[in-house]
Amino acid sequence: MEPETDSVVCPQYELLLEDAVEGQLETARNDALAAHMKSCTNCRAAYEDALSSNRLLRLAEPTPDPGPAFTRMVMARIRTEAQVEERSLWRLLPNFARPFALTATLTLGLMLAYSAYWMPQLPSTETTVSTDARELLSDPGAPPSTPDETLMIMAENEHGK
Amino acid sequence: MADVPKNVAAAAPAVAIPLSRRGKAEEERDLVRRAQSGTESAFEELVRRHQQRVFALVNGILRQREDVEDVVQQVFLKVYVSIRKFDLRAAFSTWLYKITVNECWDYLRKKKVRPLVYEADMSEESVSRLDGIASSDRPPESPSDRAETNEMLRWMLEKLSDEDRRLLVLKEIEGFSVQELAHILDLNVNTVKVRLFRARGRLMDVYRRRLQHGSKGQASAAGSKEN
Repeated sequence: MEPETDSVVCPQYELLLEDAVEGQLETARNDALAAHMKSCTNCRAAYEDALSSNRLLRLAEPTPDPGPAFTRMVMARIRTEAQVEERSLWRLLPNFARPFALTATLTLGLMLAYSAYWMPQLPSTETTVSTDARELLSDPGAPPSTPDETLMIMAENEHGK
Repeated sequence: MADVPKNVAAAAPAVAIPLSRRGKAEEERDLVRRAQSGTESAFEELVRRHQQRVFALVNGILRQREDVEDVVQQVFLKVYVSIRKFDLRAAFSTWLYKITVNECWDYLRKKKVRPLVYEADMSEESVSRLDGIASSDRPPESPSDRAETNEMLRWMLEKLSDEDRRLLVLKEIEGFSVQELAHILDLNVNTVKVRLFRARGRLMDVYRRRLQHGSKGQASAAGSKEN
């Protein structure tokens, strides 16, 4: 590789020189550059070099179009990759399904075991309900419905004093 | 070798975009939209239209022909996968070239490719032939001459730094514009111009050095014959 060499052209004209090589200078800037190059041998030499390099480089052939066969090859590869991706998505499904099925079976088994072993040992709901019902049904604010109840209430009040 | 033309500047290119180009741009946007909605034939047409430029770009960066095809395929595969993300604000080609360049850098990083070095030097005959070709404006006519000229130019380009060579190859051989190169290489347009100008000079330094070396070799060969 060649060592990097600093540019020997006048820095303020470097951009103009490249534009001139490319033929992109409008008249005013073109005249200014032409006047400068009459007195500056470095810029003039660099400009000549750039033109010569262009002449050389334009002899090289650009990369040719790979043609329709390449287009077909690209499309075939895209289709193959798309199929592989699709297949890999379906392949993922059993991977997720297996742990899901295992977890579901275990949960169901635990629920059945729980209901088989723990449910009969719970207290009878019937007894509880009847006791609670009695407490709830005796309403202290309601008037006595029989003479016996009236006497019992009077006795309780006397005892309370 | 080169004469300075009397009038430095050629006619400035027209700035207005011709109607046909605008029509093509709109047609391309339509193709992109169709490709985004999953129309395979639209994507195929985009590949067909851009494959040469993508090939040229990858060639200009990698310089290893056997891998160029793989990288180009990989580029289009990436474009296919991510085309829905392209928002149509920029030109499709700009986006495509950006993906191409990134793919090339990835490739170089993964493979840790070492620069291709031409061990063989240019023969004296090749040097004088190249000098003849460079001083005349006529391109070589026979396929063998053209192949030889290409080979000689490649030899000269290999003597340059990666950056100089990339700029010269992409601009002068593959035909990318300064604006495109600025986009592709993430550089300012003026920076590209200045670097191009310097690269041209360095290419001619290589050429001149080889030419001097060649003439010295010829002189010493003639001297030894006389003795």
